[in-house]
Amino acid sequence: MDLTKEPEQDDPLTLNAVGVFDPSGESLRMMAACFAEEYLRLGFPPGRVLALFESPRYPLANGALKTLGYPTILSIVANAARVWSPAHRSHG
Amino acid sequence: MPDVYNWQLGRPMAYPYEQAMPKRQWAFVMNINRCLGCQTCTMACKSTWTFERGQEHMWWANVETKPYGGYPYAWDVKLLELLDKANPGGMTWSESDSDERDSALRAAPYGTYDGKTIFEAADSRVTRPEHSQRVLGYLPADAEWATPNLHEDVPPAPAGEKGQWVRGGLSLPEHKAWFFYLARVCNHCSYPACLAACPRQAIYKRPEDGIVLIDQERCRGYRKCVEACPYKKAMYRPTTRTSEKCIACYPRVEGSDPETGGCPMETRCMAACIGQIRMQGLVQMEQDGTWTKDRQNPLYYLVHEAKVALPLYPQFGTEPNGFYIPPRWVPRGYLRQMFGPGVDHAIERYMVPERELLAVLQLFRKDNRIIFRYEIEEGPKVFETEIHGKPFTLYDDTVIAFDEHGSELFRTKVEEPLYERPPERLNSI
Ligand code: SF4
Ligand code: SF4
Repeated sequence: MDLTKEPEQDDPLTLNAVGVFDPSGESLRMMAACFAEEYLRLGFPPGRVLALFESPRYPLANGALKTLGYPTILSIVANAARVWSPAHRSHG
Repeated sequence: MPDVYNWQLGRPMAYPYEQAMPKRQWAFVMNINRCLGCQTCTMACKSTWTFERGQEHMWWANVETKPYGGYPYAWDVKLLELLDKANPGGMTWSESDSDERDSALRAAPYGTYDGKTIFEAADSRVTRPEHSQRVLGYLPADAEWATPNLHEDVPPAPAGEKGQWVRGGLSLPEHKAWFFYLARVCNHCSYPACLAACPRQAIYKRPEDGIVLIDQERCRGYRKCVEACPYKKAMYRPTTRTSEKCIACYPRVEGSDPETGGCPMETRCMAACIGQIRMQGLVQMEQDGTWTKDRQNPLYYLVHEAKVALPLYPQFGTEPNGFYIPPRWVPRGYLRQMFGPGVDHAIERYMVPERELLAVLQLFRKDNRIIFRYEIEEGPKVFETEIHGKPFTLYDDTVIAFDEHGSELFRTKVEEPLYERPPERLNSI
């Protein structure tokens, strides 16, 4: 089904659900890093944070995984876990 | 118009009334980095205050999906456009020439706003050339109140099927780029535009806590407040022909809710927050409009010491008392327009949090009672590392929260353990 349509002047919803241009993907990377850190700081273990990205029920996190690729998301979660997950800290 | 002092603009500002500050001011901090958009806050408010006839369109608390969402529709874009028309290219800031003294910082923490506020641009007549206004604003059309967060995260109807839901199991569109959830309530502004615009003087600001209320006996429903509030948080009720707005759950803030035995309590939207993004309290005010130094009040610390929490659209000039920790992934230009020039500092501090900030962030949503003061008991150093290229040391400190009378409310640690409910109690509260 085609979901595109021309904007109509009297349609107050015309701009909703529209993606924003982010050609470098930098915003998306930063958003994914923020998700990972915030959930880890709430006490989630890294495996469960990764599961959020893998689940299609969390469309934004899952969309980040699809766009950036699994290795990037894995390294984002691992990097955050290095600081915020007690079991994964590298001391020294 | 008399001049009042607006610390968020770092300068005096024209306002229709003389300066008069409450003893204490209701205020809140929301950490946007944590909001899930679950709308629990929205429903907590709706089910408490606006479930009656004539209030169907009223969402005193709402959460909108930025950049495109808004309730009422495009409220901020419209106001920014008006302000820019009245004062083309004027929404700029200069570095403050105040010295580094503490009082000067509290009086101008973000520098000085060069442009006009909605009070100063009121005579521009850009809204309706034939009418003058006390405050620059606009009255949203009825349709603009109709869709709080409807379609912001879900697909609109297919072409040619206006007003219809998409049927037949369609996958949701994926957001390809950034967005964030902006949770909003009335800011119980220090210089309320709603109050300034009311020809009946039906709106008042309580001297004990700065909560802004509409006297339902005096209101005649002229909707000047609806037109003037830049945040569009005053709303008209057709069944009573009066305007209504968020009342900051004042019975709770007064401590008259039986749950806390006389202790001031946070509002419904704050207490219900699943994402633990919200903290609300009362701050002490000076008569010059600045906040009294109250180093151990968590709101004072977040706004004036750590400077991680910033006012929403400070350039409007109402001195809102809602503050936000900005979302760190969002392009800075957009954020500077929304939260002023303090954005870069706030994000830097939040991303590499100092010892005290980490402890204070742990205070969010551990109790429904208002925290008036906190103390930190130093704990052991856990480890040192680098975050985002900067040195960072983690300490497992204990942070202790106190109520209005100095009694301990709770204590928690930076390395707070995770407790999970057993499966049979997953949904029990
Ligand atoms: S946010 Fe709007 S309604 Fe609330 S006090 Fe400020 S001007 Fe008035
Ligand atoms: S309850 Fe909290 S996390 Fe949920 S939408 Fe409201 S502010 Fe965001």
